[in-house]
Amino acid sequence: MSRLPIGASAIPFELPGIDGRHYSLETFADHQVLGLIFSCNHCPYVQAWEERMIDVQHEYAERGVALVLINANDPQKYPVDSFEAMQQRAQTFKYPFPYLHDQPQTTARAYGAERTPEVFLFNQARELVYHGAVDDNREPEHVQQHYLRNAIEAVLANQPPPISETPAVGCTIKWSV
Amino acid sequence: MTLSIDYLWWAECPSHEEGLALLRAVIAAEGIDAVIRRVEVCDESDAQRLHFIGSPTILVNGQDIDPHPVASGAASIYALTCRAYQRDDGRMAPLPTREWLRRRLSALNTS
Repeated sequence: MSRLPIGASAIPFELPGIDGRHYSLETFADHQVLGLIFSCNHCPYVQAWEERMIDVQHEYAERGVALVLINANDPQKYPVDSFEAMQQRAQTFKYPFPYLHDQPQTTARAYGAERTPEVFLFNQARELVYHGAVDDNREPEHVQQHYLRNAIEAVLANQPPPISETPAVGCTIKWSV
Repeated sequence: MTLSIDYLWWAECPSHEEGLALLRAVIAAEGIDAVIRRVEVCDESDAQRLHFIGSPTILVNGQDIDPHPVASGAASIYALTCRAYQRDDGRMAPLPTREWLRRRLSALNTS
């Protein structure tokens, strides 16, 4: 499985969201910036970064930025990552972004995602401009580099992000086979 | 009395080295007499056999350091997974805090 390289085009997908709608790249055509974040319910690293992802979406929603969470974990192995559990978590934490279920795991494999949380950020041409972690520390009070936020600001200013790739730190995606 | 500590870890969870360093630092700072044994959990059968509820798991004299361990969400109680620790403020994190570790080790050292 190869990871999508910086500069590559976003790979089309069509996935169900917890709200009953189906989402694809075209759904976000009117957004200048699109961030796909492979995520899940059970992972403590996701839980550690969850509030910051929510904050980023709130902060940039009116500036044409859409973050989209995608859960590809096998719900047979992790029942807490089931579609119904995703709905519950999104409701509990008032997710301001779509939360999509990649049950066949084809989107995660196509992007070469390996961990949760793992960010793939695209510019308006839907070229990958940033891949990796949300920031440089799972403890919010110790963050020094706001990778995702800085990348978004750069794209909104039609500039390349100061850092385009970082290691994603988190749980491994739980594959079915 | 020397505490016997088993530090159970799974390589795919990224914080095990940091967790071990934290554990060692707390033991040193508190002057606790302890022997740490590192135990790598490599597969699901290891997880079942060792009653591994996530990486890292710390057993003190055979007893889990957390009196109220957080469920991993996996189909089996014992699984190859990253462990969640609940902070005093309710937040979940992949490692306990230094202060929480200090309190738990002190409690188990005197029990």
